[in-house]
Amino acid sequence: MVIPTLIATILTQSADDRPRIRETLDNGVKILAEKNPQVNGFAFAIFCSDLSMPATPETHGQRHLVEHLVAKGHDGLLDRKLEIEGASLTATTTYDGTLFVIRGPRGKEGLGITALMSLIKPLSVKPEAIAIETAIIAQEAAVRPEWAKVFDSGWQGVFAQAGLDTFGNLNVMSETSSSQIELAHRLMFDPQALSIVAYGELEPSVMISMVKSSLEGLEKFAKLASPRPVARYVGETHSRGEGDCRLSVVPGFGRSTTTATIAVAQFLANQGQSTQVVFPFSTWPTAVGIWSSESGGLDYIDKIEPDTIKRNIPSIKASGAAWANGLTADPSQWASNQAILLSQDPTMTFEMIKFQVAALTEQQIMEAFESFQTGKCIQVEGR
Amino acid sequence: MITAIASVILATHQSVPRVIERPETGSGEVILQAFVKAPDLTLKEEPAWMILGQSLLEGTEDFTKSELLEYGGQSGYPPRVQTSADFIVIEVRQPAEAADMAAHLLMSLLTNPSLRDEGVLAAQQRVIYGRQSHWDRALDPRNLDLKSVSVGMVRHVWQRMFRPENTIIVASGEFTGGRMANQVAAWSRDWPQFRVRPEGPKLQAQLMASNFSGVSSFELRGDPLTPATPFSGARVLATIALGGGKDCTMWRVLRDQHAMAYSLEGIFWPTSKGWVPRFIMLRTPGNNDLELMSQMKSLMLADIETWDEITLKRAVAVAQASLVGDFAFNPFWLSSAGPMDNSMADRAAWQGFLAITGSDSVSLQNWAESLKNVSLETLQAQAKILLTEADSIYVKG
Repeated sequence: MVIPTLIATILTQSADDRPRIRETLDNGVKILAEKNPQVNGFAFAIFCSDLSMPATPETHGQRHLVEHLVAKGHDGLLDRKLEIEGASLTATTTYDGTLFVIRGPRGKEGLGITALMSLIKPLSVKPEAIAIETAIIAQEAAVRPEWAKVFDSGWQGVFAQAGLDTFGNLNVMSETSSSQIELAHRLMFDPQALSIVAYGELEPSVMISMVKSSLEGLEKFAKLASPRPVARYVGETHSRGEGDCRLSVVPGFGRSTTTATIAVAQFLANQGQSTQVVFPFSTWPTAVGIWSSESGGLDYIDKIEPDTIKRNIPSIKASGAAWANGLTADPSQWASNQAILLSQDPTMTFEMIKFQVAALTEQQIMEAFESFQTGKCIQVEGR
Repeated sequence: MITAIASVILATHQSVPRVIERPETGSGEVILQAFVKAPDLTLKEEPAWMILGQSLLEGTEDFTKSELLEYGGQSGYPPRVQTSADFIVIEVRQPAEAADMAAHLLMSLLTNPSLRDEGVLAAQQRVIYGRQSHWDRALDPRNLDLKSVSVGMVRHVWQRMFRPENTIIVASGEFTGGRMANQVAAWSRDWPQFRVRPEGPKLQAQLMASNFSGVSSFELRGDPLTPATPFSGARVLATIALGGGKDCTMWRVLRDQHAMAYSLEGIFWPTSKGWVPRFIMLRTPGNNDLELMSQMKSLMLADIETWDEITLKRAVAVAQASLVGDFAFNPFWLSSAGPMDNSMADRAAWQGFLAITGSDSVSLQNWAESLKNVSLETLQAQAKILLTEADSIYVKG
């Protein structure tokens, strides 16, 4: 009798002391908490996968609108409550879902969790609030970077019906009613679509219990869709922005092909002028883009000799290493990227990617280079 | 050193830049940052300075462009050059065991850049046609004649400004005290010294009337401040209460109440004279933009009257989280590359930046702590002065 009790006690203690705990609740919520004493304070992330509310032309933009409205908090004072304690909240709509990140100092973890959980509570908004937020989003459209607009065009070319952009349709937003927003919020925050990450100077077991006690009662509501298929559609693309873009279709984060393509893209972009690499962080089929602000600004890629690439393999690996380091450069990035991994492929780790970069072979690098050549890549020409 | 430059060398003597060492055991790497200031550039030199910054990574007499990337990338972070209107920051990172290589790379970039025609011309093309976001355009609204800059003028500004007395090097990371200073001293022996006069009128570039981008920028710009400036604490908190974070005046009033803009922020913009408080709002151009510019100021001024102890408490918390913690909307910039973060590199850059402004005796921690002493009345009074005396800058989109 004594021994089993002792074992149980030891097991309980060792479970409590684990620096990294991952759990999935019965309703589908995925939680990961990781202790890192090197981090100053904490970063919490909640990712709402769009599998519970895939965009359609009729709802295109509602996710973006909900992101704006929910980030204000139910009483409009969420930012004040956080900032008065030195914490902050950011919100982003991505191709795969919606991401909220709260960063804060040590000792304010309770505030952070409460704020995070408040996002999940049913949302109620007045039409005036929707109107004013749509007007703000119209201004957001004006300052949207050209590379994002051009990449969107390519993305739609690659994924066709599953390739609606992250920004949304302003007409849809302006015609969205309060009840549609409330429904969209409920779908977005369906427990099956949620992944939550707590990272930093914290006790993982305490974080897990706090999240569990808040979310255990959340009921499933949505029917989840499947991740987007690869639809390598090399057809006409209609650019909505300035500059050219070349997209290489890749199987997703965590695969060596993807890692090689990103490393090569960084290197190729450095050889051109006013270029940028675009990679939507996803383990699902995705694309790596190189954008140039100039029309014809990527033609140089076709003129690069394979021998040049071979000679520069160390530089390409160095570019890849810089990118891989950037994924975890600060706690907010760690938590947000980890929340996407947790949602899509919980077995994947950042360390695996760093090893992949170091182990890239010449063949993988050459294939990645070829994938950006005319005839192999998706090309979007500037307007 | 290339012949064209060698021919105008008038004297070579040993001279060493100031080196600030910040050993941090356990970091596993060494970061070297050189701050080079150029406080009195002429109208002709200003655009050349921007091109010089881009030209440095084209290679040195010791390292080719790809070698810079390859050696520099051993830590996963290739060398970086960030060019501001009146100072340049060069950063080199290496694993701790390659600390001497870090010093060699940095000193080569500083004292021995190639500045060959093809490299400078390529850099010039990048600066002229380079990708610029709407925010980038708002941050540097100067009307610079970049196309007329000659390669000779780029070399000229390098000769005139890249001098030990204009340079401060901050070394941080895993090394024993004195090591990096010795390395810098050793590599400085061959630093060529030129006696070069300013070229062109002592005027500053005018601002653009239009940036032709489809997005107008509206800005209220205050005077530079450092920790040594009277009421600096209150001015810092006033800037944050007005434009820092998401519960600031700009966000609550201009954005959420009036839907005037999506992109708007108050920041501390780094110059060699100190931080300049800048309140910037971007929006689509309209017929009543000048009216909006004045409305922006009056709405912000009116909001100051509504401030209470919560406003003050939030401003202090945001300032402290930005200076010694980690805040998503950090308003403090240490270079043109973006706001500071809580990394070892930026803690070092803080000291380097304050050193070029001549006020590096103040520690980050002490300054953050001193902000708690500001009263609500002082905060409101300084905020009103800041806005009332601010320059209004409008660039049509």
